[in-house]
Amino acid sequence: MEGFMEDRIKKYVEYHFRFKKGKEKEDLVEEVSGNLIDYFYQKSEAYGDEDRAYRETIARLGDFSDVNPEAARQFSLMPGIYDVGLITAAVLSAFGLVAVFLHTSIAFILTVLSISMFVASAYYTYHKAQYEKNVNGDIDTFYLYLDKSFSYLKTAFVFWALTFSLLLAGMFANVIMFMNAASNPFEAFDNIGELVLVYFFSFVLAAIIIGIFFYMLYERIMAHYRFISGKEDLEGSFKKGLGMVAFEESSFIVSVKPYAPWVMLVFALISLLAPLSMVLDFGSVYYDSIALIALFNLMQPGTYFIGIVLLVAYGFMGIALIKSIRDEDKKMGLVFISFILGIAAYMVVGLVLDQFVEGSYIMFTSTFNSPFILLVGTMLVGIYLLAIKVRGTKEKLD
Amino acid sequence: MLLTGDLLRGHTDMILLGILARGDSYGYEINKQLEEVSSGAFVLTEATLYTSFKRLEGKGQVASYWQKGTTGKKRKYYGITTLGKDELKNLQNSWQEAKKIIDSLI
Repeated sequence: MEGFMEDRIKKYVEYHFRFKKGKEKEDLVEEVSGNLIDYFYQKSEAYGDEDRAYRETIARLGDFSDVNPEAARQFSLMPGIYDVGLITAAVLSAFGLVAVFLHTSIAFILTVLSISMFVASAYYTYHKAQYEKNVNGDIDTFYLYLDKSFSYLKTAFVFWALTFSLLLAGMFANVIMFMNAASNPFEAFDNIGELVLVYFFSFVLAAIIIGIFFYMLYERIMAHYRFISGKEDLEGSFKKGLGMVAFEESSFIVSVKPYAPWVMLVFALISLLAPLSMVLDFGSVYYDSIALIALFNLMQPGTYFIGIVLLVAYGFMGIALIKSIRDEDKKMGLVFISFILGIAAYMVVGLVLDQFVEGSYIMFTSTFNSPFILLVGTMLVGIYLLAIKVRGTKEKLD
Repeated sequence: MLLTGDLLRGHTDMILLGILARGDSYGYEINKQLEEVSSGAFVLTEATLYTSFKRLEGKGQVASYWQKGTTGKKRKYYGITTLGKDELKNLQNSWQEAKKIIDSLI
């Protein structure tokens, strides 16, 4: 219980000084929380009531606005209609992405609505910022409005780019199917595998085009932000939101940290030992074996180019895991990427074998198959990484 | 009692230098002494304490270092410097003079 209360006080102080960075923040938090923890024990002993002692301890912190002006400034503006506009635009951008899978027209309307609301609200706050600077000469308020107008930019851009990529991918896929001279697009190709391939490559193409466009636009806007603000970067609203919940988390994640790469290694090994059935048409050979043996079976003339894809993916996974186990910093982000590449490699192998190597295909006869195990592992490591980010210890771990 | 606290608050730097002249100490211990001596009438918040120390350190009147505190945990200690001792003498003289004037007026 004592450790828990100490941790609670320290996190409260850490949150209070969230705008400070590096050694200055470390020393400030260490000094102030140390004094408060001693005070907490004094009061706790006197009252015999930890909650009352905690409340009094927190009140003892006082007004740090002289050394911590950023925290005092953050909520010094009354929320206005432009705040509602920016938040609604960001939320609509997410809904727009979800709507792509339901109805493309709705997705398009939602995204256009989101862009319109965002542009109007951002334009208002941007001009309000300039007004505060030029007419009132208030630089602090200028920065507050300026940061507001740019704060949801990254989130909205990511959702808009994904939505437009999916919409454009649909158009590309239709064009490809039209070129196959089909009256019914679903009959244009022999099987669902070909259709998936068409959509997959259409999406990759569309994502590259839209991605480049949105990235260039984003960089251009941010270059303007850097120019007028004189600041290097802007902390996004999503990150700020995560910062607000940071001090509420337990230290569970920190205790899990040393075991995380080992757990992922177990997942990688199980995925290699999971059952995998494969038909290779070299004299109608049928393999009903495990993924590791299937991998070696692929390394023969005619399919080795596919086997290499899987081998490289597992090689990368191995390097990421070794790095993660050996490094004190635990490169779990790298492990996460390597697992996604592993799943992608299995998808590519399955599709290419099916489409380009006649009479050959992979059969996933059981749910307990390699890509599924990698997927579960990816989800676990994803949750772990998100938890670290929420807890606000990411900069210490990465 | 509230007035006493306000009066004392205007002399935070002198009080802190006075306490440190008796020996090096850290935030919590200093505040505990203040609380005991003033019977709870004068207590500094962490913010006031921190900004005062920062100011005194900036003027070279106190120096800080990390050391294990009375509870066995790492705490930031402050000690008075020669410059701080000189300043304390000046402040004590000014205080005595002001006290004399106020005493003669009331």
